[in-house]
Amino acid sequence: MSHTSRLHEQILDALLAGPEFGYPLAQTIKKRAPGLLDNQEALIYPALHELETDGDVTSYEQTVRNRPRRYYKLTERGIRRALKQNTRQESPSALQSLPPLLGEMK
Amino acid sequence: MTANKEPSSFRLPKDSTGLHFQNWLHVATRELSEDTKARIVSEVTDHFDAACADLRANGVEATSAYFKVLDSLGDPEAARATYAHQDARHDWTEDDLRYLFRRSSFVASLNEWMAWSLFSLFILFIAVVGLDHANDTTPAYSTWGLLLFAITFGLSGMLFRAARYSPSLLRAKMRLIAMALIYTASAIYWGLVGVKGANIVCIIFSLFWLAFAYDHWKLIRELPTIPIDNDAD
Repeated sequence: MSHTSRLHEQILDALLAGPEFGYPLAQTIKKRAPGLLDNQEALIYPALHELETDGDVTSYEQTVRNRPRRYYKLTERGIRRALKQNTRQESPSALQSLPPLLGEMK
Repeated sequence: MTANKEPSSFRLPKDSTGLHFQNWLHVATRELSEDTKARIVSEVTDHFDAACADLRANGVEATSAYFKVLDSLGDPEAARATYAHQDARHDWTEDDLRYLFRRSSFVASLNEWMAWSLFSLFILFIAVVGLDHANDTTPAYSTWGLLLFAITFGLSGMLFRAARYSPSLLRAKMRLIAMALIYTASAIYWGLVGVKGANIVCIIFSLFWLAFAYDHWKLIRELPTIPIDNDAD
């Protein structure tokens, strides 16, 4: 999977928690996926804009301390995509837990 | 939330006067359209201020926080390349993509048939005439030209064939790459023939192919990564 695709997945996943602006979003991704945004935090913005163009996220501006701040939130399409990718990621672990369970049944 | 920690008296360190960050912004956004530039500058500046405030709230001294955050933004040249690439992208809609798929599907059927036919023809030609055909006297049928076309059409034929079994977006990309390969090879071939034979018509012909090739490579680069559920063809 390419760096951009991984970044998109992480952004969608992080936004499942609710609307957020760039900086805290970058910190969440850095914690969840070490190395993905290390020393290149500025790259989160083109990724966010791309997701917005694709219709996965939408953005709005809010004035915080007399300055504009742009928040991003998932669209319905984005929520579907985020949930779909989460299910895909969870399925291998679900499969891994099957052999012990089968063993117990024997 | 980070915003709550932001001290109201936040100022950039006196010794830097914000010049490093301004330089970073200047380098990173220098090739962008006005709209994109304004948005990136606003968002990255907000990011920068929020990050500095966060570090300072956690006890990091102002100058250290400033340079630490500047460092975390990354190489401005790398950011510039990414921003510029995104800025060049069309605002693709699903309708645009569906049109592209339909078009690529029709042209691909035609091109796949043509690619295999021409591949066979060139291989046959090479087998009959041989690789020692006189390159200098008849450049239009030169060995390198024939090989170039045989390889290109062979590759394109394989790409067209493989595209049939690929997901929709990848399929469109593979078809576009196959066509771009043919156009590029044509541009090179006619360019060489034109230059070798000092033939202006061939050179103009080559430029036409070059324009087609450029258009296709550009399209491939700009194609978004969005998955579209369109497996109609």
